[in-house]
Amino acid sequence: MADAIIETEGLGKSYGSAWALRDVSVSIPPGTIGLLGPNGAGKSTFLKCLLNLETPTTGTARVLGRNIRSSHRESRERVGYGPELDAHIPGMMGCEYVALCGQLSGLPFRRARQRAHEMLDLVGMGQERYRSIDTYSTGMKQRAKLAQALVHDPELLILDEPTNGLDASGREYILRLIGSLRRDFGISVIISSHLLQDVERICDRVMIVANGRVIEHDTIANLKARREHVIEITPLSGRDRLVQVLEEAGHAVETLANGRLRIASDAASSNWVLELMQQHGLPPAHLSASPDALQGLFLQALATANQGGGLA
Amino acid sequence: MKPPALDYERWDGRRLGVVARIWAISSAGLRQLWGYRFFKVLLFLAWVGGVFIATTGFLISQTLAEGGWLAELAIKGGPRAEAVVRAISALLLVYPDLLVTGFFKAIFWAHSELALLLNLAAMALLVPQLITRDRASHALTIYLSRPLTARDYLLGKLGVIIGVIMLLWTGPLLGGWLLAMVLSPDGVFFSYSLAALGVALAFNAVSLVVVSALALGVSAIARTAAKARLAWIGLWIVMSGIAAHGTVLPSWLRHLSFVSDLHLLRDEIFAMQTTLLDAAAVVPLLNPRFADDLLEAANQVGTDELGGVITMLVIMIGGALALVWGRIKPE
Repeated sequence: MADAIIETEGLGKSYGSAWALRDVSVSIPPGTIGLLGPNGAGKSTFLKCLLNLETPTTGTARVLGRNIRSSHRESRERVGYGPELDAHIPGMMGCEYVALCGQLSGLPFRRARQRAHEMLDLVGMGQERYRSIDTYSTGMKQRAKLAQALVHDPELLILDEPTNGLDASGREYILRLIGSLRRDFGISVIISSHLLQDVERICDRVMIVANGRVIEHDTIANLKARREHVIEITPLSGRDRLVQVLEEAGHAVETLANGRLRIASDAASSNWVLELMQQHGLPPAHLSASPDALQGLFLQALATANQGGGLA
Repeated sequence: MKPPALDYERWDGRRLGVVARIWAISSAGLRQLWGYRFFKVLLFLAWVGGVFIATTGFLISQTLAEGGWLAELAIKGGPRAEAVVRAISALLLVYPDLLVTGFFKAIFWAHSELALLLNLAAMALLVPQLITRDRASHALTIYLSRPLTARDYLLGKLGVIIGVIMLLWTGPLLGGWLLAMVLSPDGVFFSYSLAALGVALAFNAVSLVVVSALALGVSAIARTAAKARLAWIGLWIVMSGIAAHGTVLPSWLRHLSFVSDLHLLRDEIFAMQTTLLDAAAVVPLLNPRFADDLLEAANQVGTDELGGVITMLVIMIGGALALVWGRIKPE
């Protein structure tokens, strides 16, 4: 497999005079990558260009080492795609639909049928697979979309808002599944989502897009390291003493509306707080380091972009 | 909840090529059509047409051939009937091309009338949804995110239409002919009906190209299957109306009707005029009145509008394909 799953050079897409994607040059290594950005930022256009669903106006792109224009079909052979739209082939049972998608990716009929059932099991669909897909609820369609994206055993899975319309347990189930695809089977995943906590939970890398440009692209760990460190403390008892100890140690303590204490920290680790509490015999407390880091990064990146900054 | 990834298995088998993927689109479309009762009714009627070919071919061969079942039966009717049978058998020996080819051309010509009607009905009521439904349900995104191009997708859908035409037209035509040949008492029927079969298949192929291109074009016009169906039925009614009043309309208007064009093209391909003229000229047993009738019929069948027909059909096919090509984009 190629070193980078996706490489783009000056990739751009315009609709008339409006540029949805402008001069994007990135090299994305294998992993689980979150694609973040506000509505209309160009996330879906970027994904569609990679899949040749939109013809790029400028630049080139390679997916799994294959040029999307010169190796039109081959570049998508080992790619699975779950679109954001409610997309399915109408008039079929769920299992027929997933099996057909397998055949469309080159699986022989018997193998496609077998894997269709395996994938429907995997995404948690039971007997509903024998119902017409036209009658599925939004949650069931999301599961079917994931099953069709996986049926041909892709090396790269591209999912556009995969948890939209799922209830809490369904969302949890699908996030666990997506998270384990890279960890257990080496399948890279690109997730476009507006749910930052989903991305933070399962992705090891983030790409933030705004105004058609990539404004941040790095591992979550690196991005967090670049940001001001914040620790939130939820004391079980002895709040006033803890505040006094922290202030005596030279830290400004902010009390949040939910009763938590928030302090800025120079170090990435929160161990120094634990040591301080131990020295002063304070009761245990719940500590959370950089709790909204991704959201903070996201907003910070957007603000930079609006001022005219960007990576590419 | 149990971690779900435990049952996932990697697959490294050989992937099938693009032809198999296109066939997957076509076969899935045909399987879906099989689910419609109306399609089964059309299939039944089409194969009744096949039985008509087999039965008529059987009757003709048994009448014409010496030793045929009907010929033998006629001989039992007395010396006069025997003389007629002997004369017909002699004609078969002298003019096998005229008799066998002519009769089978007439059978296939009649069958093409039914087959064209059934195919147009199928195109009107079943086929328009092929692309329309995919567009409405964003299925194009699913197809085109696979290792397929828009051209592959279109070929797959064209395969569905070709499949329908084969099942409703080519299949009954070949099946009926084959059965008639199996039941015929003489090999001469096989050799001399081949030319007629070739003519029938040629018209079948031309119709297939025209009808499938137009059906694809119409199915790409509308956003819903119901609207596409209405558009096709409307088009069919108007075109049939023009075809029915062809003699009083100017030729440019007549050629706008693909129904009229197909009928004119059929007359050219089957060349029934030539067959009838030959019959009138060389069959010695016919009385002059009958020969004159044949000549008159031949003149009615004749057409000299081939150039206009072909030009218009090519324009229609090109326009329909350009239209459908423009619509094969994910939305």
